[in-house]
Amino acid sequence: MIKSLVDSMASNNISFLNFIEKLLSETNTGWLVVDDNLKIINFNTAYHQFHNLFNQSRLDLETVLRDGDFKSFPDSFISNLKKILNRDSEKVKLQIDYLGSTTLSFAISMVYISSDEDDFEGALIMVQKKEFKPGIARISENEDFYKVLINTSTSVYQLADAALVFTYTSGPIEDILGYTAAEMLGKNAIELAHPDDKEHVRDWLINIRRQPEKLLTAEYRIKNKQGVYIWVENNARNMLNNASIKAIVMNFRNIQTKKVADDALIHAEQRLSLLLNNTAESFILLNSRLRIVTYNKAAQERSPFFYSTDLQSGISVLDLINKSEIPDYISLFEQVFKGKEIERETKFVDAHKVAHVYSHTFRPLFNAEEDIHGVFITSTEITERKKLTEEVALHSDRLKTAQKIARLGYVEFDTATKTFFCSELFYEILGLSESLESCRQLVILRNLVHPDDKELVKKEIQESVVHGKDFNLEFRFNSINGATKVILAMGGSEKDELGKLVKLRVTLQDITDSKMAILALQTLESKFKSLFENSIDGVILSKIDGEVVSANPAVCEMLGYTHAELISLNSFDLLDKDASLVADILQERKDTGSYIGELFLKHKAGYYVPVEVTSVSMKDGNNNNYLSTIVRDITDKKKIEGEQKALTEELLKNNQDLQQFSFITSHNLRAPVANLLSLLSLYNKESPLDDFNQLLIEKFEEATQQLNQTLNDLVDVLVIKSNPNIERETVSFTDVFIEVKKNIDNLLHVQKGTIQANFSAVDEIQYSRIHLESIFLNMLSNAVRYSSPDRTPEIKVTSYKTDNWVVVEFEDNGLGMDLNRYRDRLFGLYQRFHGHKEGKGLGLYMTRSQVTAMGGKIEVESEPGVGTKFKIYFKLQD
Amino acid sequence: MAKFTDVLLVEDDPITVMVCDRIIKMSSFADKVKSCENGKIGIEYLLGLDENCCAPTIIFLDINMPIMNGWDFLEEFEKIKWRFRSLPRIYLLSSTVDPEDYKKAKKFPLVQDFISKPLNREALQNII
Repeated sequence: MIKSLVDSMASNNISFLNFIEKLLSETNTGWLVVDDNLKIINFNTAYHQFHNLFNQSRLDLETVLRDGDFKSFPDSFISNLKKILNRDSEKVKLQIDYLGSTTLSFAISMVYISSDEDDFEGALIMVQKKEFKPGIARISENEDFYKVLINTSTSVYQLADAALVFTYTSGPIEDILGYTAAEMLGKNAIELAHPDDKEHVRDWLINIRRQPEKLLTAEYRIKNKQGVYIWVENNARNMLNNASIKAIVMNFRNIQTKKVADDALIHAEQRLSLLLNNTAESFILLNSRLRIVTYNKAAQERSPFFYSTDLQSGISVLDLINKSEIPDYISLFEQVFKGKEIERETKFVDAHKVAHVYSHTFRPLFNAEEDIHGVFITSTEITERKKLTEEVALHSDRLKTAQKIARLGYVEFDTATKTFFCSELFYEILGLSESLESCRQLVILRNLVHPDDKELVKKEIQESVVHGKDFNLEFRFNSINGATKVILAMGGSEKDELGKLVKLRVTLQDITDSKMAILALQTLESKFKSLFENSIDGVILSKIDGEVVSANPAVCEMLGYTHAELISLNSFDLLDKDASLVADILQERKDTGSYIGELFLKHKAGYYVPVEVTSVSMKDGNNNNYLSTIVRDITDKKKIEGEQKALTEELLKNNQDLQQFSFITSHNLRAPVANLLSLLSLYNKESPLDDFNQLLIEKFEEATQQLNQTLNDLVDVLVIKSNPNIERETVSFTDVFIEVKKNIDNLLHVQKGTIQANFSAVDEIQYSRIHLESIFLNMLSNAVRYSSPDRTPEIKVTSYKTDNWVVVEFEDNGLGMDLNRYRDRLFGLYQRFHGHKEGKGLGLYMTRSQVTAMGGKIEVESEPGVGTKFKIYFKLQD
Repeated sequence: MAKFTDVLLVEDDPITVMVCDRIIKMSSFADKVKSCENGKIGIEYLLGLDENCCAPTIIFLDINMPIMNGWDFLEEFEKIKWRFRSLPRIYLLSSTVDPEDYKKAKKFPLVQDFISKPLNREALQNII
């Protein structure tokens, strides 16, 4: 047949595809042409009847097949088709059973076609339905039973095969759509659907085929026999796999009247939507079947259901809520459908973990006939309101608690009703047992006010009542139990527009204890104040940085400042004598919190006052740091201490001197005695005229003289030592010098020496003349005696004055001496440094004793071979 | 036969020198007694001796002397003792009662003992 077709096509010179199309357009065989890329080129209406669920725009056959409901079908179909397209075989015939169905199979044949003219290569696929078994036959056993059941129902029951072609329709179809059951046979399930609903119905049917056993519902319009579309609700269940049914079972009912009601709702909604979409309050309108008719924008945000899914018209709210909540909501809706208005709160935590609380109202919607035909749900977020409510509750609690904690009593007098409101604490504070109810009882209160305070209380309250002044007064109150309390009353009046008193409000506080404490504190303060003012010791209060805050009269007097001057100073200004000492004080105070010690404070006049200081850091009531410093003038104490110290030092020194003196004298007395003893032991008693005995006698005399001289010297020293307070007189250096010079003139003459004396700077001192002569004699004779043999002696005697001393210098050009070697024993008793016989080691010792006994000192400078300079310091008398 | 060959006496008091010299000879303590009137002369005498000879066997040393006292002598002697083959035994001869002097003496190892003036036979007999 193909061959003849091709031939005829060639001879008629018409397009191959057009020819095929023409040829097969009217046949009952379904056909389909694909190109070599499996793209659908064309198909006829018969094919569409078999396979009508694909969208014509999807032109890839394989995609169409796989996307459709032919799950196992495409594999053999496609593999055979490919064989054709690859020219592996000219023609293929195959039979394919429809998915999951034994009621339907297709005979399919495929041939390769090509057209050079159209530059086309492809395949022609022809499909013929092979078998048709009415499903109704399968339930023939129960037919009678079902017929009765089904035909008395207001719903229409239908069975459809896997290709969604009706195999059975129940009787009531005539009542609803006007068709007879027979007329429905062979019709496709989608056929009568309203064009606008077809897409929706198609999706529904595909879902049915894909989900065996599942009940799926759709609402759509079906064209009745008169061509009018009727709203139906169709419930379908895929029971193709059920051995006894092997069909899709459908059951629809007329919901036209309900739909009209819905339309009314929608209509109403449309009128309201403008209004509602602009309100923050959300609403959802449900129809009687709990499907969403409409909702506003706000609803998506705060409906009771928003958090599960996006809202959408037509969705049942029961699908939007948690399964566990369904029974609860069903009972809620039952109430609503009984005409009740129900409120409900929900909580929701958003993505930012902020909790929101919503209040929802479910209201029944009545139509003109007073029937309930829907539910109106409005929702508002009440998070803030909720919070506020809770806060208000908390707040009033707080006020009460605060009153309790503050021990505040409260009384309010209402002039209109002449009544009192008194808090519990009011009674407690005043110690009243009887409750205050009327004005008359005010007399009782008045009588309990302390007699001295009655006038004050009366006046203050009157002022407040008449002039509306707030008052704040303290008064004493004798409570019933006899104790006197101090009460702090604070009050004010409230007036109306006409200035008439409406209310008087008073708070009361028992301040007895704090009042007493203040009184005690004041007493204590005045005591401390008098202590501060009258203290002999100085007291300075300063801040940590040294700023003087307060100073008492004693310290002002001590340092010569007025109080005003002193508090303008920094306490460190008083201390600047020794900066390192200040640092020490600060450190010690930092370490121990206090400082106790002796230091000097600067008097306004510029001198320093020795003081004993006790400085303690402390805090005042406001936690500010201060230093409290107690200052005691220790000038007298210091003076005495100084004197004692000097005395002790002198005593110690004298003691040492005396000890040394005793060692030396005993040594010097023992030496001649020892000589005498030795001489005696050598004396030849047998022959007294022995020559050696004569020598011994001479020596004996010599030793005795030596002993005598030693004793005399010691007496001289002792005279000086034992009599330190020799009477002073005015002595002239010039006079003394002239007197002494006479004694050494001979020696000086022999040596051809000269003495230059210059007492022009200072010539007179208060001193012992004898001592001064002795000092001059020793100095001058030493100077001459230890002169250098290499030069003629030149001696200079000069006096001058320093701060505390009169100094006389004796300078010579004599032998000099190595002071490094001899300094420490230069002034020692019986220390001699030159071999001259005259030296007994007594002179310088005597000189020093004479000088130091009068409070002076002696210094020496010397260089061997150059000379010696003695400086004698005489202490200036005050 | 004398106990020691030679004795040096450093003493400024002539009577003491005379008496000591006499006692030393009378008790056959030493054959030769040299006396120097102070420390300086004593040191000068010792420096005058031949190098590497023997120092005087015994030195009696007074403390309180002019120019160079006993202590100065001891310090100076420390500086020159290397010159001698043998070192002397030194006895301090003094009338001192100052405990400081006794303490000071211990600093010089050559000082054997303190002899209280006057020097007598018993004291010499104790020196072996």
